[in-house]
Amino acid sequence: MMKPAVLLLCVLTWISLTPRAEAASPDAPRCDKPRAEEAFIEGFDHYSRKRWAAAIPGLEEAASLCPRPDGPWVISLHGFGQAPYLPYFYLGRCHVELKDHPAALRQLYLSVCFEEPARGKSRMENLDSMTDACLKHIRSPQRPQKHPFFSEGFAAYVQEKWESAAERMWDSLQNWPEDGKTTYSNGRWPEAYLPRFQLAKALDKLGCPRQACELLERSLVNDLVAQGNPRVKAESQEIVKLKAACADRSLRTQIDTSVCQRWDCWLRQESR
Amino acid sequence: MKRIAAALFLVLARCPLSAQTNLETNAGVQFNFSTPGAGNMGLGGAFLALAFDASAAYTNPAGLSTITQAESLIEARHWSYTHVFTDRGRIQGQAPAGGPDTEDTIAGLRDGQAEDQVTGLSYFSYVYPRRDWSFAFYRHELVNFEANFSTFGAYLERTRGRNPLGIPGTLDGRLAALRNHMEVGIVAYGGSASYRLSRGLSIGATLSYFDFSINSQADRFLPSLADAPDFDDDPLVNFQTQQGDDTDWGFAGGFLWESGQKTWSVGGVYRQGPDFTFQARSEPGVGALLRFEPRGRQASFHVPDVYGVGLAFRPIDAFRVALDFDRILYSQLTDGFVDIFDLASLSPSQEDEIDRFVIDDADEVHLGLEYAFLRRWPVLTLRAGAWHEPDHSLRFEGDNVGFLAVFRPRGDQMHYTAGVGMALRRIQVDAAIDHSERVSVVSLSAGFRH
Repeated sequence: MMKPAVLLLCVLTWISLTPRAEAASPDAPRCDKPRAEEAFIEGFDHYSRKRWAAAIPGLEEAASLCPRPDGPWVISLHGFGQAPYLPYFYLGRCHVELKDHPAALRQLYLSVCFEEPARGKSRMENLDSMTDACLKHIRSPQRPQKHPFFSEGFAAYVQEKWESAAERMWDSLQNWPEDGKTTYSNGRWPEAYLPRFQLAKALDKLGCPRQACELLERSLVNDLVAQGNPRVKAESQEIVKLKAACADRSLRTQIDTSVCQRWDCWLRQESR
Repeated sequence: MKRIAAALFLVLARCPLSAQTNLETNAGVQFNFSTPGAGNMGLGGAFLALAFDASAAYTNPAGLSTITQAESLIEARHWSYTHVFTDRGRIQGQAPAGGPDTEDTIAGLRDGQAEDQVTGLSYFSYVYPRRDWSFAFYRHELVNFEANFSTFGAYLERTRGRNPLGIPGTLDGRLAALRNHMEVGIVAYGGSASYRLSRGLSIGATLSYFDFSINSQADRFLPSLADAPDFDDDPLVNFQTQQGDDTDWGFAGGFLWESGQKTWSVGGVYRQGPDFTFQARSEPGVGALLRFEPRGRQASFHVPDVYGVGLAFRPIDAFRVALDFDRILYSQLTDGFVDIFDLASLSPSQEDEIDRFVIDDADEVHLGLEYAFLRRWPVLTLRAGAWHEPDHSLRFEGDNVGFLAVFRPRGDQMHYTAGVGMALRRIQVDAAIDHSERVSVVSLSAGFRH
């Protein structure tokens, strides 16, 4: 009969040798209801008065404190009525009113991913029309003559502002798909228009390697590098390092942070 | 009587009427305080609202915030100067003497021209961006100027009068024949920084250390009244020198605003010019008719302050157009103006005339266009531009006939520019030319991304 101490040691050893990814659960959305309610009330107060820019901080804080409550949640507004807790939807509306259609689109996609339509059907009848309107504003019917989102994203990446870089590259993809043709990153320095590849790089820096590798697989840069296109000489060197990291099998069981979950949502919605 | 009168007016003509002029070398010189970069030059110098390469360290430091990766720029320039100066003839309103035995045959003053060329490494800078800040250091050759020319000696005014012995006759005047040499150099070493205040708005500042040198000499010869000058045989009556080395600090500040899509941009800059001092001397020559004590004075050279604002429009990636307005305070060049000849001691009536030397401030307008063939690799860019340079030559507005003949307005200049560039991901090479009637500049620059 094994001694208890030895048995305990074996158990502890087994637990410590088990891959951490298989033992841990994904980063589940937390919900600090009291603080989220307080932030939501402050944000919605501005929202109801059409002070769109002022509403954003409170609504964003509420969304970060409680992105997905358990079931419908209606909040009393200090004696001025009630409002369903739909922070992402209201944030989308704010950005629409402020004419920031890419930011609006991201919030509306998060609204869908965090199941707000199920919790606030009556308030969200125009969700689809708002989403379509944003896409119509962002998408270019023909190849645009400039790529300002791409330039901003490129600059943000060099400045190591990974989140900003990722968002701008995603915006650029909504505007026009990857085509590898020459555009300006800044000044007179030409770059190949590869926002999907640049987004993959930014997500890798943000600690979302699984999402980065999925994007890398779909990027046009693979074809251009294979063709020996001289425009992508720099990318051909970067892609080698990224693909080596993507070969790491532990990516399959990656723990998704809240940042990575948001990006999962956006990338899924984008490919609908 | 006529022969005596002729001999006397020859003597009188040898009186230092010609020495009552201020240093003629300065009349033929126009300083252009150039901004760096072949890309800048190809656009007619309209760069304040663009300022998107390493030349921004000097031109508009706020533009450094548009640079997202470390880069450097190096430039070489070749200047070709055409100096215009009063050479010969007789002032208007006076009939030339005419005849086969005299050079006094031209009615009206005639200008002469001389050409000089200078080549040098004109600019180098390195830019390091870091998040919302960018930093740069640079070396810029602000002035690299050389002039060598000789004048014939124009005829001035014939008057009736009496010579010092009281004998009546005709007095004539002629400017001395000059042999001039001038070299001026100003090099700036600076550090710049810019900060992005918000999306689309940046400010910047530059602190520069300037190194100045001047070396000029004007030898004054007195040929016979009717003859052409002979610089080997004619007596050297006096000569003037301007010499010195000095240093000073200068400051510049700028801003840059870009619209959300970078379709429009506006930039502005103020550049404070440094002050330098040098020694100006006048000494009698070996052939002096009138001996005087060598005179030395400390003179000042103030690089003009510059205010500028620019607007740029970029509707598509491939095309840009830019427009700049610059006000250059050239009048500051006459601050501390020195009478190198000390004329007041020779003739008190001339004292007030010294204050009648003028240089006008200039309002320059610069326009430039650029088109990039983005489908080509390397990317090929063509540029064209023009800018208007108002006359800012030293001129005299008093009564002294000699000064009026030498220090005259020279007319505005139109400059036409053209440039070409080739760009890869990490290196770009640009070439440009700026041509006007009196100055032509060729520039070659290379930029590197690190």
